[in-house]
Amino acid sequence: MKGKKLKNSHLDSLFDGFLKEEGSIILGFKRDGNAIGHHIFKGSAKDYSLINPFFSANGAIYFRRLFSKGAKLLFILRPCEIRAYVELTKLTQIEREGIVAISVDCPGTESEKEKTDRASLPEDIRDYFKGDNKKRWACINCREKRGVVGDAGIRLDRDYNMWIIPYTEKGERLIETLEGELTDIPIDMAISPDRQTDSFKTDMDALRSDLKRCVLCMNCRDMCPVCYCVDCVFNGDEYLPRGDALLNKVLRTGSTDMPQGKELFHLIRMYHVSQTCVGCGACEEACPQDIPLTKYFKGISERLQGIFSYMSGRGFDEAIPYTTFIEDELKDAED
Amino acid sequence: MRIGIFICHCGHNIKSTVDIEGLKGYFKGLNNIACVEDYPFMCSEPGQALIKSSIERFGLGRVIIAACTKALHQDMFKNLVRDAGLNPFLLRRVSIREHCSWTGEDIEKNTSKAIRLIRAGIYSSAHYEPLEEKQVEVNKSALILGGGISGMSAAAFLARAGIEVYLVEKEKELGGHVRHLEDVWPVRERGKDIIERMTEELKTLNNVHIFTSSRLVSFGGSFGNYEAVIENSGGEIKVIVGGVIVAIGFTAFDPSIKPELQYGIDKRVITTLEFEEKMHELPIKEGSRVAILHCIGSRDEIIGRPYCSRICCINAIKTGEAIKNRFKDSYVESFYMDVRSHPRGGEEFYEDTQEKGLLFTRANISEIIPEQGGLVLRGEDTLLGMPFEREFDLVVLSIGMSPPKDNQEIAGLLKITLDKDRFFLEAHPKLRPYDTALKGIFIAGTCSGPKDMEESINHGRASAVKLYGLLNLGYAFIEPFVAYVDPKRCSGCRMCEQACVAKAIKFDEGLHIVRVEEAACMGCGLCNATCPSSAIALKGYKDTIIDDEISALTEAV
Repeated sequence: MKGKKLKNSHLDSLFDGFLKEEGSIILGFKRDGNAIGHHIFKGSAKDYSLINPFFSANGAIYFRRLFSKGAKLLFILRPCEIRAYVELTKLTQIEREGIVAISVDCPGTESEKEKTDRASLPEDIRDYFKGDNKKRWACINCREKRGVVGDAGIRLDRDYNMWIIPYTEKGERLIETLEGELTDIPIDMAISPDRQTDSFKTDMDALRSDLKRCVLCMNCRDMCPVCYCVDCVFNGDEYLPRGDALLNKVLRTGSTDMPQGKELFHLIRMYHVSQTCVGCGACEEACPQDIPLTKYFKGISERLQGIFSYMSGRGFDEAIPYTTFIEDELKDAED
Repeated sequence: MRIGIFICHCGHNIKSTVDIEGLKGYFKGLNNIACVEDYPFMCSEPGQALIKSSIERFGLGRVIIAACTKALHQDMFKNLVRDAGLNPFLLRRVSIREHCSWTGEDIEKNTSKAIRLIRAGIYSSAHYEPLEEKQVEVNKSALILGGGISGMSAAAFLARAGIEVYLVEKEKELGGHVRHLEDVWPVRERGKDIIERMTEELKTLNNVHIFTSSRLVSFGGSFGNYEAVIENSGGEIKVIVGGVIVAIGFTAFDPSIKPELQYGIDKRVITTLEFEEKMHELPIKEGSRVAILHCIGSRDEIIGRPYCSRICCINAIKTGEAIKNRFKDSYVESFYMDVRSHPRGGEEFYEDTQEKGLLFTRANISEIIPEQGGLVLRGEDTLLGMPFEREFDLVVLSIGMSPPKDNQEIAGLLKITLDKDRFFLEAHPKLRPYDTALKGIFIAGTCSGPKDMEESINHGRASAVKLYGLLNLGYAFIEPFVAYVDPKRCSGCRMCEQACVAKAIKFDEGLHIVRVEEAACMGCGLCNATCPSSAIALKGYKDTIIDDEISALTEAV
């Protein structure tokens, strides 16, 4: 695989050149003192940061229903965010036209919920890969920390040199504008494809007791990057009856927990997102009750995607298993 | 809402095992029930009059008829409700006979079940909406795929009835397998003569368009307005047809996949089809020894053909008879599993040939060993339980029918299901033997399983009659139970588009939502189940209807 060696100055000129054109914007991270967060850059990419070591939300939730209408967009985000973007394009919730998506090697993130002392944020992104900070469970068990998804990737080698590597024609066209020649990238990179994951075990008792804490605030749904419906079925009272309807239902069918229907809510959401879930853990991050949602959503969806040899967000051309029907699939599930 | 419940005794059929008074008492106590009536026969004229007068008297908004299954009298009850001034889609039928009173003798249990069933009717019908059947225009034209005996029979019927017919055949000439038969039993005519007579007839009809050496390459549209593209050496021709008859026939079984039979290796092993074609060139004379093997490519689990091909026994007997007729002193022995001389007169024909000296031995032939002098058949006589070896000069394999070669391609284009043997599957083996999932698309002849000529002709004509019945009026009513999209809820993710079998869902680029082409929708509900937002639902079968129906069935009485 070929790529170009990258200096910070290269990136500055790439971003400035890109933003000069009318209607061009960049979605990435901005550093503001010791705070880093998602930011949309127009005109200038001053104070951009390639890495955000703190996770608050998956950036793809900001792209849902993005039909660029001629604007040119550059995404520079984490692999899990770019993967969610890829899934949303397959579901026609985003038009790929006009968008170049670059994934950046991710050292893993800390939760924004943890009150970490941020006095010593390193100046250079390379230092994030060296430090040993307290990572989120989702990041420790991440399926893909490498910037290998989207149109191009920014990756670090063992000596912490930055490389930019094109994966699609769009990526190639963008990288053409950078100075330097395409050369073979080193085989050993700072982040290797190996990963260690806690294997997911079905435990209905644990699930039941975890979900007991749910207050049905639906933050997990609202912050999920691949939960894309414009109007969720749980917005009406079809599934979650209130008032008289609830009273009628209880009189007819018997007593119930409150809030009612929370298991159903999570199971239906699981059914809807399990093939597109990227395991970013945004749901857990949004949960005020600290329910370990990532464990369930990431664990179950990875197992399910494995059955179909599918990985959400890996490629633009890989169809979501829901949307395809192959007569001879799932033979081992028949018995 | 004012709901009327009408409970039928069906003579003693329901009354004897369901407590009608108990039912009436239970439902009279529920809210919104305007009247609960019972009558010995609701389908009789006084019964109908009772329903009609009650609708008018109580101003009913829903009518629930608890009687026999919906499959009976549905049109009559619908018309009755319509005559009384109520939309017929506000009628609910509840089966308390087939699903309840006939299932057991226990009055208490049956009554409790009847209550649940009727209650499910009440809960679900509360969500009903008045619906209208839609009228669409229908093209009086038909596409017939396959110009064999079945397709030609269908074409002749439809053309004479005034339907424009497009007959597509992939070979150079019409006639299929029948054209190559030397002696058609029992009429004792040449197949070619029969085919040419039929071809002449088709040519005299000016509304038959015959396309030979042609194939169907694409297919779309909906009933009444299907669009088919036919390709041949002259290019592509697009035709709009009201309906389709698929009669693509069968492929003769190729015995070379059973190498122990030496077919294709030794020239003295031939098939019944080859025997028909070169009967007079065969190396046999007076005194020759000929073996005929039944069930080649039929009733054979090992090669995945467990079915009986139905024609091969007659073919085998006919072959033996032909040899015996020519060479009286020849020795002809048939090795069979069972003799199934299916069609009328077949059994008598079997008896006659036995009298002519044809020998029948029940046996399993394990292999044929070619020797210098002749072919040695090794097998087991299954009546005596004894192994044997016998030498013959010629072996004729009575081959069966295999599914047509193009079945996958045609099934994909026309959305026809294949059965376990890869023949086309009919909608219902008894009640809808010619229908497929799509309205106006019928199957005829051997593509839906082995048939003899007579059956194939009947099948072709029957499909033609069914299609004519649909096309004749020039218009059709489509059921209102079609999918509809809630535009406010649709996210435009196009999942439903992938799930739709009838290709009825179209994506609107401008609004970024999907819409349903009602004429094409079959109302199967696959899209409904696929949509994560519940933005797409079936008219008359909304999620809430089904949810409430389930809870009504599961609640305690």
